[in-house]
Amino acid sequence: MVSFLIRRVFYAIIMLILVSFISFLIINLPAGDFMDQKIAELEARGDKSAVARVEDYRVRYGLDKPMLTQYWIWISNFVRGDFGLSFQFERPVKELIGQRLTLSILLSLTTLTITWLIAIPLGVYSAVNQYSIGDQVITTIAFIGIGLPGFLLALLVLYVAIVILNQDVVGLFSREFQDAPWSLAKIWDLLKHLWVPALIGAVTGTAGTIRIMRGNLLDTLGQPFIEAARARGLKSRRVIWKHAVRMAITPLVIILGTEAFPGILAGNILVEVVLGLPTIGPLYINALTTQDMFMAGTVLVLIVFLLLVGNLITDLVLAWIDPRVRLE
Amino acid sequence: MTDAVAIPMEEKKKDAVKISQSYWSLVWWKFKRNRLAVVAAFILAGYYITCLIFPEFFAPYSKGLESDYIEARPTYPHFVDAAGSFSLRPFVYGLDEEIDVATRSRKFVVNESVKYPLYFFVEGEPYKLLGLIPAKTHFFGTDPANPDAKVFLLGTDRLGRDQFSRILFGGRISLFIGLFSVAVFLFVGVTLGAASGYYGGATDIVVMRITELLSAFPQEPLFLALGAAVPVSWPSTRVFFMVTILLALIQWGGLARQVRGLVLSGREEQYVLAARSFGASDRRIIFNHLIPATMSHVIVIATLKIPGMILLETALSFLGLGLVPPTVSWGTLLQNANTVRSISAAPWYLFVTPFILFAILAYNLLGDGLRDAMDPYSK
Repeated sequence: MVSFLIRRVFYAIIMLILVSFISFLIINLPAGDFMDQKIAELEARGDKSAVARVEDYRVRYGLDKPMLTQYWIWISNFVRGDFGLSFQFERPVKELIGQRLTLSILLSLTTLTITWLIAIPLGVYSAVNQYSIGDQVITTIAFIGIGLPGFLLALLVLYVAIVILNQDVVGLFSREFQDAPWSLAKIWDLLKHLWVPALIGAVTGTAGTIRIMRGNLLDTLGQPFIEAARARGLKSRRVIWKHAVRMAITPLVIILGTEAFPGILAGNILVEVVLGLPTIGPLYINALTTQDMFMAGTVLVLIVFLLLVGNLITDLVLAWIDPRVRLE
Repeated sequence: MTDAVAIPMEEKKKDAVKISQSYWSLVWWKFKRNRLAVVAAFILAGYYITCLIFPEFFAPYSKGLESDYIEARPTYPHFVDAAGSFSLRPFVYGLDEEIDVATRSRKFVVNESVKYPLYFFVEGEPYKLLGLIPAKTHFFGTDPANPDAKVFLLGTDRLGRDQFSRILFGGRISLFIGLFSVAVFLFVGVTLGAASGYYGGATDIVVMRITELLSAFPQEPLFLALGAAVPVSWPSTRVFFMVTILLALIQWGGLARQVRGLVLSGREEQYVLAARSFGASDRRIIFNHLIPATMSHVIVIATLKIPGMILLETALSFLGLGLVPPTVSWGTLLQNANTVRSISAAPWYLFVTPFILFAILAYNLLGDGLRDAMDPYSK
């Protein structure tokens, strides 16, 4: 187990180094330097002190040096927790991400809760009553849901809300609460907005989870230990929920680690952009469009980091549950 | 074997036909029985004929034709007019411009006193069918003799261009991107996967490490970052090809791994050993024996990949990171609807959405049907 652990951690670190370097390259690909643009803009405005300030950034982050040196400066700061500066807002990247992180986490947790609250019972019902009308309806809806792209759904929701219901669903706060300090009224207002993106995000997730849950439970229900439990006269509900579901639910651990965990940062970027949420997704897109390299690079590397950590944790949990995995 | 006698001759003949069928005709049989998948195939055929091959014919106007009707509301075809009289020939009402005093904006309202009948196969703007044959006939339109008569089934955009025509032309690009990027995806994935499985050793290690690296990236954010890296100054065709290739390049990893697995097991099959003992070259074994054996899997993966490719392009262009106007694709058309203001002022910009959704759904149904059909021996 220990050697397995060491191997996996070592592997994850190597991956992270490679991936961060490639991310840095990609983010730096666009021709023309954001700084040049910014300087030209500031000079046109005649803001001398700002020009000097921007020139100072250039030296500080080694932007006039070769790519490898730039990467080294960036990554060594990164490891120490300094993610660099957002040139667009002229504020530290860390601060900007930090401001939005809470809402991003809240959104992904809500989405996950809604998804599982809907998907697990439906999946179990579907498997227990295989081929019944209910099962067929659920399977069909789940099938359509898998193909539904969240951002198109979000656009349709916007249409219904704006044109038909004349309601405000954009963002996570009403205008009067935008800059207000936290209060019960503000939390209530947040909840009133939060369920829309969470539900949209849950649609695709639910469909996939129902399918997985149904398939696994069907496999489990056919196993001898279930029959043994039934033969001993246990109640049907107890057999299903205590014995079968417990076995069948393990693959959801994989989803938790490999999708939900990295999804905290940018689970559903497009939906967040369409609905104009103050979360990290739109921040990333904005950074990409304005070539705000440290901002975009940081978000990309952090997502990859979460993905790798999520995979690692999943592997460990699975190895702990299932000894066969360790031998590979 | 005694009960074979009990089976009547008729049944036996039927069975004989079944047994002597080739794999692909069994697949075809099974596929035909799946109604939904067949319907999906027809819907897709309709999409490709109207959008990819003949949009010039099916669209009443060309994609760039500007008119005085700026952001005009859709004019829907009617059979029964305001007075209640029925005519078999559909017609559309005229539009009147009106100034909204409250919002100080211009808008169009339906004028029920003006009727423009719709005709099929009307003369309209000249175009070149398939880029070759000069033609003037459009599938439907208003009376060419009356220059005031216009039909905007799904409204117009900021330059007064017909939204319906543009959706058809946009479909050409979007659907083509789906096909083309999947072709590149297949080529890269199958070739590298097969090479990796067949040769093993260093080739295998290198290819597999690359796929692992690719899978360490989150797909959507990576694609968006790559799309943003495509220079804005590039000509639109080059951007188009770049986006297509990027789509394929970030996704081939999974396919390569599956093909590798299939080739690894296929390599040990008797017929491959036989071919090798006859002195067949590596190339012959890979292309004539191993790759065809993976085809049923590969076709299913490819079909299910196409809708994802179309969606990624749409998303990228919608965010303004991919194709940009004047290129018309479903993504660039959706850009019109990227603000709350434009959705409330001109909700018909969202009419692209159902077109995209139906194409996606049809592809998923077709792919699902193919997956079942590719395994014709299972019940």
